[in-house]
Amino acid sequence: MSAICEKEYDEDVGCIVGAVIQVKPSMENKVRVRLLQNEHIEIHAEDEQSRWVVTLEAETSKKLLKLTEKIQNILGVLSVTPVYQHCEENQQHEQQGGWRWR
Amino acid sequence: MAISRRTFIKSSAAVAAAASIDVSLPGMAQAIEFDSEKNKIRWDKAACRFCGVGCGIMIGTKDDRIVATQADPKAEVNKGINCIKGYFLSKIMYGKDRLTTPMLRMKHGRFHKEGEFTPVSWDVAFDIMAEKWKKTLKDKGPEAVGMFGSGQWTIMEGYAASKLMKAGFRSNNIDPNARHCMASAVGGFMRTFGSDEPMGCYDDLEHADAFVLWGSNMAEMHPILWTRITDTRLSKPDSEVHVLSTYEHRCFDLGDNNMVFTPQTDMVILNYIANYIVQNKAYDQKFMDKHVSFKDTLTDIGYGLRPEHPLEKKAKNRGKGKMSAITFEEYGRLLEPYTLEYASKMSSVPEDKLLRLAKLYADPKKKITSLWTMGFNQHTRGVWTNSLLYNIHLMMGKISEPGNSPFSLTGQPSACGTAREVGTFSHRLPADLVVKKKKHRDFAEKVWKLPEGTIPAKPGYHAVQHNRMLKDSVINAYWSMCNNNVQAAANMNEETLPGWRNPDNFIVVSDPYPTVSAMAADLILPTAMWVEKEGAYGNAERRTQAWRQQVSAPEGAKSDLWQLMEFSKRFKVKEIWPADLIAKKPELRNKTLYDVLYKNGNVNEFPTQKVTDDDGNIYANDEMDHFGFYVQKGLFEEYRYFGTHGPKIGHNLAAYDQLHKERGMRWPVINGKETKWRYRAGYDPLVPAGKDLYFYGHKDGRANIIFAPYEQPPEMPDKAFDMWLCTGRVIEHWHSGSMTQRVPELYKAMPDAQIFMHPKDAKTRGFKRGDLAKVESRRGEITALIETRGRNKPPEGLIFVPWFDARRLINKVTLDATDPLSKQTDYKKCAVRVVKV
Repeated sequence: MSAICEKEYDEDVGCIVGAVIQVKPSMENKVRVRLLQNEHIEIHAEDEQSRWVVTLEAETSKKLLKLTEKIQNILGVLSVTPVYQHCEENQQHEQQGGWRWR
Repeated sequence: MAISRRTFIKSSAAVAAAASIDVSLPGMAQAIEFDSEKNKIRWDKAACRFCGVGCGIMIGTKDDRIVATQADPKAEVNKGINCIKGYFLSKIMYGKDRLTTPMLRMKHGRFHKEGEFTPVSWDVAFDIMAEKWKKTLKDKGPEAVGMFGSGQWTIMEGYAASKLMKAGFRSNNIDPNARHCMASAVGGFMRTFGSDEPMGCYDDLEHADAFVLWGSNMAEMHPILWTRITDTRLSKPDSEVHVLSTYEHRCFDLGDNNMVFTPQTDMVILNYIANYIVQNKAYDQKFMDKHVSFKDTLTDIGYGLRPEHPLEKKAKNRGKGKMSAITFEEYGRLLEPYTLEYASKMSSVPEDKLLRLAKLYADPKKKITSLWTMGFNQHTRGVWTNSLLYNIHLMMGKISEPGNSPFSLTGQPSACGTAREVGTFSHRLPADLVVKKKKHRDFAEKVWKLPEGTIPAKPGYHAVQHNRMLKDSVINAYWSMCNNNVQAAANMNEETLPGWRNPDNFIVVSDPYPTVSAMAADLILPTAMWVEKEGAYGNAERRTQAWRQQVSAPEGAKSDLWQLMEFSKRFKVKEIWPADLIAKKPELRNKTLYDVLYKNGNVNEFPTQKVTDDDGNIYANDEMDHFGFYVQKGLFEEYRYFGTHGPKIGHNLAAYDQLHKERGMRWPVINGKETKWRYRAGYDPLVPAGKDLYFYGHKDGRANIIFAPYEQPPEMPDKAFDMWLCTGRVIEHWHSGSMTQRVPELYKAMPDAQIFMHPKDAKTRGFKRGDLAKVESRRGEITALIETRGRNKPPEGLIFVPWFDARRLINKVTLDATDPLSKQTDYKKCAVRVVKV
């Protein structure tokens, strides 16, 4: 994504995701410590089945995906399921695998 | 209480996530209510564009652009959660190289097979297409035209295409890409139950005590359903998960009993479990007496290769599926060789693991949901294997009730709704009817208001034959819609490309993007996708879901439906039908196929109207505007008649208007109510009074337990090609990647296909992780990087290579052997070697 486009959109809201993280019950404390080290993650609620409501924020959707992967790879996290996503960058900024006609 | 826009959206995100697990965040909800007006986004429901799960998605639109998506909290399928592909769903429409004008290969201002792709108008595109179709029909007849369709077509598109081919061009040479993914499942359903599609539904995922995965990596391919299984496993005491696969994958993280088996020996394991149940008299005798018949099937049936292939010449009963009645005792004797020792030896799975699995199935107190996808279906004995699993559930009576469910998962969003239910296969008609039965053809012709004899009785060429017939110049005019079959079909070098580039043939591809198939075509038609048009899909649990058009397609791109109907205007009945057929209904003589098929009094029954929702929002409908009637509703209602009045019972769909109000409905829908479990009294209103259970797909109401033996695959590792190759998908990409590869985040997460290999195999071949290597088979080769530590961990002797990557076309390497009954290709097994570049 070009720097210009990033800036233009990031000044608005960037990318925000609401997600549910399923944590292994025996690992809750360790996972919590890891998550709270990251300022872009906020835990809003937890239920008795060790499912946590979180929001993730990033400047770009690429960074957001990285963040999601990072959480997924934390020992004790069984799944990360996004629920709500808002990214104001749906225009044709960049794409991969495309064909050039000539 | 003014809040910033960012805080508002964050609150919305948190509240939506909380709602998905029934947690409330009262403070935040108030903030949203207060500020929602100034951040007005129009929200409406749709079904996800990707896999067969059929998740509900809320689409947030502003200024004719999708700016936000949310997992639909009211959708029963995904209950307000998404997977990572759903995360970036709307971005699939905004790739830089969206096609907006037809592109024709031209030289010196004219079409030329070896010409450069040149922009042309829709008129020019349809002129050359019609010229080629008419010449082909005149010179060689209907068997020389063909169409390759899709389980991603909307229901109405599939139905319109099927009508155009079978009733308009009078050719049964239409087949969907669902042939590659679901045909064996269909074969299993039809042989065992006489009716396609599962008896259970996703509610089983909360009711079951145990889950058994047979060749399905649900964690990556069906993540939402996997989340539901995870919830059950972690919250229900004594629940368990068993995973069987030919390599270790992400589902193993949750598995209580993980089994990696030698390819094709799933058949041995299934027969061993059946044998265990018989030997231990664990079966439900009463259930079997009332509801089951026993059958044997012809063996040594070949591998669906070309007839001159030595393996086909050798086969005693090539392509034959005849079944004979046997007794339960005979069935037991046929199972006797499948002992624990034999099963363990053949499969390489330790005995204790197999025994644990057999005991689970044999325990009358355990409710079991078995799930499978391509592991069973892309299998040269896929039809048999599907039935071998039903045998176990039927012997135990563990079927058609909450939690007891043999459940065939699907890969495409409308493999069930469009390909199977509409019947876009070369042998099918809507609602489980088939072209070879006169009664079925008569019914279709009556509904379609066509003269008797319009629909040909002989099944057309199936998907794999399409490429062979193109190569052999038997099919000359060919239209591929909504799929990427050059990348998807096996044995690309020897069959697909020579067929598509054959100078005798004219190939058309309709697609939103210039895919590998588009680039191999002669004419490319730019296509509107997903919510750029109104449509409906049918998911794996028989749920039909409709959506309204949310945004405009890029200027110049047209929906498949528009393309099919516009093209039909170019043909007059008198130009392409024989005189004796026209003589039966002379008033059709001067009409166009458009008049006959779509302006027939049914499809054009509903006039143009404003499409609105309960909030009064108004939606566009480009096809209704163009054709002057409510095209989607007319097609759907005509199609629905097959299920409500046709010769086969059980396919009753909800009325189109009701579908727009509901989050989808599972058929049969009777008196406006859906059916969760088929065949069982109390759930399915079609079960006759006085019966507790009735498999009404068969006239006697019984399901078949069908014995089939293990037969080895057509190609196995040997000295020259010493490894198994298994292909498949990864979570980030869907199928050939033509959509997901254009989402930068998904592309960057998994940019290139890799060779997943056991570290010891890498070491003995002198590879380190990240080295470039060549995968070779008898048919072709690709190069890719070695991965020894990734998410997929093959055993020694097997590699896994995903097929999404257009720059590393693994289907140059794969074998086009099929199940001879279902004609579905086995992409999971062939012999390769991995060597230095």
